[in-house]
Amino acid sequence: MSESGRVSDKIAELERAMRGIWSDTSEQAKVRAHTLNLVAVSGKRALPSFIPLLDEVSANLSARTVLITVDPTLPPWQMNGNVEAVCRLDPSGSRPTVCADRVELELGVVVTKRAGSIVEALTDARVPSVLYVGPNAHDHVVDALAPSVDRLIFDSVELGVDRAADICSMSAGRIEDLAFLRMHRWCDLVARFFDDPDRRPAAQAIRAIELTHTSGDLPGSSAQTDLLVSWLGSKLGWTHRDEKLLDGSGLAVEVTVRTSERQDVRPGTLDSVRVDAEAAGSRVRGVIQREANPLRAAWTLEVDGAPHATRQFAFPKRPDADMACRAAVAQDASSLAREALEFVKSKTRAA
Amino acid sequence: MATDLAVDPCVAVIFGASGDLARRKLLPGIYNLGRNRLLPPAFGIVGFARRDKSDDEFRAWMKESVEQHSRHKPIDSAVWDDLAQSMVYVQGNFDEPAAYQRLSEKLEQLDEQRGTRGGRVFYLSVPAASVRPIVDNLHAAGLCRAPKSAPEGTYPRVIVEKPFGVDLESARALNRDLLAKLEEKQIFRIDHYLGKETVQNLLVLRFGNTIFEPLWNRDHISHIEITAAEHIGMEGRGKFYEATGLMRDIIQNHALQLLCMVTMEAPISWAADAVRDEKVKTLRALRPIVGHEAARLSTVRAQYTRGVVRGDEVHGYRDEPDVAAESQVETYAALAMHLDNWRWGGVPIYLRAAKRLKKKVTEIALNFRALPHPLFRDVPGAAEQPNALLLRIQPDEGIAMRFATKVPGQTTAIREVAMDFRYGTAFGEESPEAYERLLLDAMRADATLFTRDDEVEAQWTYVDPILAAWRDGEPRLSTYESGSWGPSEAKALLAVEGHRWSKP
Repeated sequence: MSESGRVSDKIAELERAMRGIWSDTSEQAKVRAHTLNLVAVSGKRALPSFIPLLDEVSANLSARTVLITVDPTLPPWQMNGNVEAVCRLDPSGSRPTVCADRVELELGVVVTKRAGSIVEALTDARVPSVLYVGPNAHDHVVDALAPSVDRLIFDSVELGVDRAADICSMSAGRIEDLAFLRMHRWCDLVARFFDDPDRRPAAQAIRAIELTHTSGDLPGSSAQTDLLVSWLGSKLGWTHRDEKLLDGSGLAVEVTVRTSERQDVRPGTLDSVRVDAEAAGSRVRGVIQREANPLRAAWTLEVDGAPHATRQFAFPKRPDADMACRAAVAQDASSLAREALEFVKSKTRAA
Repeated sequence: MATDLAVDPCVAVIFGASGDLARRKLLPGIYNLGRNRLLPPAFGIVGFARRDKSDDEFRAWMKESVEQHSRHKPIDSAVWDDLAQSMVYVQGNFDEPAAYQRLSEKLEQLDEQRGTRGGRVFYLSVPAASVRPIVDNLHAAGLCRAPKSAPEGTYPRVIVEKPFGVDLESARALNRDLLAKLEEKQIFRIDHYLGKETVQNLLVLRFGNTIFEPLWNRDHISHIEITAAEHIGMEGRGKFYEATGLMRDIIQNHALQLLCMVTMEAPISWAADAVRDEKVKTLRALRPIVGHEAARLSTVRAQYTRGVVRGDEVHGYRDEPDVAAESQVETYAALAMHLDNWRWGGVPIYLRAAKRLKKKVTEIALNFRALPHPLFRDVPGAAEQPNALLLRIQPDEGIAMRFATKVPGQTTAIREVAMDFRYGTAFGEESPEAYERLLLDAMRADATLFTRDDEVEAQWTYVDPILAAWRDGEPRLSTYESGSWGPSEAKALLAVEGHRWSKP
């Protein structure tokens, strides 16, 4: 209480600066637009790569961005801040320059728990708020913001699935896990094993899954493997019991996770999936293996030990900014990531 | 409402010229009017206050105030020099007859030197207790009548700040006393909310367009919300609040004015009385909330506790200076109101006002009725009640229309979007301060944006029975955490009808 006034004074200063940008008519005419509040939290070291990504997202979606970092060297009650307008220039000059606000905040450690109150003051309640949990985001800040936003974006490869599941449980809003979005193609390819009506019962009788992911020192290097299993589990009614994974009939599903040392895809990315199932006396094995060209995968299906089908599929190359834009506004399939992460959580509870 | 900006020659006399309002709003407001060439060439300013000051000291003090608080910086020296020549100061107590003689002499001098021709606007920026003595003394000094030298039709105007009484009885007594010395047309009861650009635009939006008014009724509107939220606490006004409370501070005046502007019928003209007649009719159509049960079902009162506001930890109300440890004074009020008239029958109007909420925002939300047939019920993002018209009074003054759109793509998904108009960006210039507009209107003798005696009494007629029930402890005084959106009881107030507060 003795420090009362410091943060709110800074907020008032930022608000004045923001008004100043828009009331300045000396420069080229500009249109102020924002369709959402993009609240991003990141570690300071990640900023050089994170800021360009945010600017691209902000420019594409006309988002008012509030970027938050924590600086442990600041006096604990202090908050530093800065306001800018990020503008998208039309090279032809035929369209007006569209700009959106960008607020950068640097919090002292005590202020982190008040991040919700700070962000509330600097965002526009008339448009949705999206929290983008970036690399090395400070936990206190994320915990303070997650309950009140309309949508959460994070990458469980960066966070680890347990932390991602925790954050997910704090929010009633939409969840978009970038790790999950990136492996959307893998889910699609796994589902194709059971597309044929004759093989659909096999989906209910998966006995084993073997997954490989690229190694790395990120907390969630194995997140995509966890998510893929959890996605299947949440769709097929699997349960965790006594550290075992059981299918809908109570039979065990064996999961094996391996790491791959290949360097040509980002760490923590799926490299292969093998699914073994058995139904009505017939054995089904599906294998997806990333090829030497990391943007292609070989998809094979064996029935009763004999090759049944082989295909090649391409992995779409989607820049991170495109992925983040999609995560910020997509309306479809959001519940899949939440269900998968809740399934992860149920594993922890069962253990 | 006048559209002609021409102002007859006049002198603005500011009682309480050393006070905070004069320093922050009135004197910078006069300067801004001068800068925008809205003051008449024959113009004078007289500062009247208790403190001893020379004319030059008053000018220096005023310059400092303008430099600090004007919305145009730096100040224009040519405008300032012109204005400074017209400024004089009168030292005196408000109940000291001799001071009014000195004032009268100064006014005559200004008439001679500046050509102000007997035009007078007295701004009473003083505590409520000083209003009567000032008017009595103005009357005794002959200043409530225009001097004989003044052109025909000139009459002095007296601008009075709220509170206009503390209840119906005291408001009537004040009106009676003022009207014993002045005519109603001379009294300008100021409610600065009415000077705000967006409030005035409400009338233009409604009655200057054809697309809104056909929808502006019970057939299309499900419910209306009016929010007048502040994030600040007492800011040293604990003693004032203990004697006043939020109902008298905000709801009886500002909030009811907003309600009138948004629900009144179209006046027959923009003449001051035509507009005010409609407002009075609206206030009289408010269904009274009388008795304990009605107060319990239709009102919520609460007091803030400690919490976090705009990143700072703040005290609870009872820990504020000059506030009693067991205080029962409300800092939050919410009302579920009804207008018993043809246009609004059956449409609940929810009004909330408070200190120490999450943010400073004044907003009116007109929520349209639910879809008659929910065709897109199972579509992601679909809402049962997708449409609302949001009128933002402050900050970021503007209007937004919310509606549902299809998200581009092969599947059908719906997203609510808003068509947003903002004053700041649409016109590329700052709106004038409310006080500037109101000062100018008083100088032009246009009372449209000022409150009439019967309007004040109608406001108190509505508020008094609620305050009576509250004094009896109905409903119980609740609490809310500073930095929240208020107590849970306020949610329940709307939930009864299946509604919920919008997030402003």
